[in-house]
Amino acid sequence: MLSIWIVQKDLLLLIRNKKALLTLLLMPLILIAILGSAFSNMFASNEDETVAMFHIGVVNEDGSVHSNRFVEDVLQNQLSNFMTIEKLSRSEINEAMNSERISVALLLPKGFGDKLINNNLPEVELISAGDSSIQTSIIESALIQYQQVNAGITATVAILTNHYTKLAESGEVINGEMYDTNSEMMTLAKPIHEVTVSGTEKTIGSFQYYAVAMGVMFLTMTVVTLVGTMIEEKNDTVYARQLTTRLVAGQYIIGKFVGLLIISFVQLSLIVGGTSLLYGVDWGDSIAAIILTMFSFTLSTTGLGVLVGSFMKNEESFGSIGMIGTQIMSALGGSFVPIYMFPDWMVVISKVLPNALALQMFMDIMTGEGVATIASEAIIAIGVGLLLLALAWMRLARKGGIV
Amino acid sequence: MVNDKIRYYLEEVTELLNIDQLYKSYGQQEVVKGLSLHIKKGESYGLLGPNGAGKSTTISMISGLLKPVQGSITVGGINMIDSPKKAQQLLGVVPQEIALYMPMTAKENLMFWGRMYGLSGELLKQRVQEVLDIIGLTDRANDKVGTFSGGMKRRVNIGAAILHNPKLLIMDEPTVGIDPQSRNHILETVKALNEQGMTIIYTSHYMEEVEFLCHRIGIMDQGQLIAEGTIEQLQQVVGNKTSLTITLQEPIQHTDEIIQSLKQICPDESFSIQEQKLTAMSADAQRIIVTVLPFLAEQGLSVTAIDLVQPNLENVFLHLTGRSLRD
Repeated sequence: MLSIWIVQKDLLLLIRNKKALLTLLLMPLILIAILGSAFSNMFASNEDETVAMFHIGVVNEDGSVHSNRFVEDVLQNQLSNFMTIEKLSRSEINEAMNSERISVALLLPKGFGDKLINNNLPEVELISAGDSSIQTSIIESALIQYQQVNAGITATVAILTNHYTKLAESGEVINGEMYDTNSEMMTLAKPIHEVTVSGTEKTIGSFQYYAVAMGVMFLTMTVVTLVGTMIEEKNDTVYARQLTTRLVAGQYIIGKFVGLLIISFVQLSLIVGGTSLLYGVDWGDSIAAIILTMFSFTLSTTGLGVLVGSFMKNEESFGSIGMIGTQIMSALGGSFVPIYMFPDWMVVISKVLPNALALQMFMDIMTGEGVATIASEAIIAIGVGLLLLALAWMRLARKGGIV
Repeated sequence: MVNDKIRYYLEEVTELLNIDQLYKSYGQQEVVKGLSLHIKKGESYGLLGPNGAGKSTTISMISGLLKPVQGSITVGGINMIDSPKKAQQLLGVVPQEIALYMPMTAKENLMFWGRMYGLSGELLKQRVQEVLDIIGLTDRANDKVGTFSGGMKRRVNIGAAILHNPKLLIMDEPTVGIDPQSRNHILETVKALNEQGMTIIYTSHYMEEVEFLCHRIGIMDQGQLIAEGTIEQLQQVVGNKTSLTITLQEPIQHTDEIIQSLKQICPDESFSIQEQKLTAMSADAQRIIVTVLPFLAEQGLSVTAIDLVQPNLENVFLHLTGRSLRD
């Protein structure tokens, strides 16, 4: 019961703190607008965006089977909806670009095919005129895809060859059942992880992405701000005074957490409502999933924040560490730049961050998923949060003396 | 605000606070060493000691915020270590720092702290109004505490501790850094609360406050209670001796040799030296001045000031600890 008064007091203090209110409630909407506009070309829009047909010049200096296949099968045939191909020599590039016959020139150097055979991504040269970022992105994606498929095929062939060589050595007869495509071996040998995309699945637009990213970042900042007030209370002996009353450490932590949850809920409601109304951001169809994500994320970050706060003696140092930590977590968690653009090692790090997990959960919801899809992640986040809160409670109860 | 079971205990006990053989250490450092203290119901008890004497640690242990290494604390017959929340119902604690929420009004603060003590509904509203009257801030009830003067904040700080009518009010230097008018108001308030039956433990650096408020005084030094009694009893420790402090230009070197020489000149007097201050306790201060000043001149020590203090708690303290209360 006493926890309720801790909640009421924290909310009252927040309402009286105009700076914190502005940071927590208004800033997300402003930042979403700025970042969403600035990075809008990095994402597929909800609306069908068409890329105008463009013309590329290809200089194939390698002339290998692979380079020819990449130019003729991939670029010329499979991407014929996007581009037309003109085969050129190196010396013809300038003239073709100056006369605007082509907007991009692709140079496949000698050794292109060898690199592919060795499962490496070959280096190519892309020369573009003016703003051709979409065209060059398409060509780069096509090359990466081609290299991955090629590597996958090579790996599959190697595994199959090894497998059947062993069978032949042991004298076993090779029969049709061994071609079962559901077998574990066949699954392992699949060259690329394929995801079947249903016709109704939505893509994430820039405003959507930054609405989520900023939402998650500001929810983290809310935790940092309120945990900062907790440390301030400890410094001002207000917490010690509370412990001389009927209040115990457990009620204090519950009060702090419920307060955070309410503030997070208000903040998220404003972000969801504000971005929907102002920018038409689609947050998906499952309010329950949004609330579950917010709850699990708030619990995990609160657990982390309260635990860190229970060790800190100085509110200012926590404020600095907390804000720097929030920025680092936000950067690694994909709040500024989408995670898929990170190098592999950063992607691995981001998987353990609660904000990255929450961001992924929100994006799942935006693409039409519901509670069932995010439930396992939510349970993990809630479990981690409860564990951290329990550790914080043990720490505070011990530090608080005999309560 | 005190439940029936606890009230029953209270009727049985005559000593509201009993502390026996209390020890507390931080790492290797022992800050409270075998402290025993017994405070009767309705008593006003002053706890004096220089900084680092162990007063605040003792108060934290009485308040249930720190666990002693050894020893027992009972408040109204309830063991603070075994049943802290029960024992704390009998306490009101006024911390040395202002432990309030500055963005909240005086009334909001009192409502909050009243709830923390388990008050609610009409009783809470009534007590908040009564406490606002007691601390003289009814007309400022709806102003934010952050806008108050230091003295007014201190008054709210006390108000927050008496909302639940505690049996024992612990006040840790409640008048630090405030104007004389507010100090007088606070002292009058505390005196009135004590006269109404509230037991008080009061720590302060100001002797006159303790002399005004307290029936008995305990003097702590280096974690121990080195003297205890009424003001009259304590003054008998120094008898009719006046404290004479001679301040020198430079800190005194070879202190032991100097004290030994002075003892030879004035065998019946006691001397102590702290840096450039030489203190003597004497029934005949004039003779000391006449005898000691030439001796100091012979040693090449220049005198910059001479202070005479008539017998009071200040020189009791000085006599017992060799230090001034505000050191």
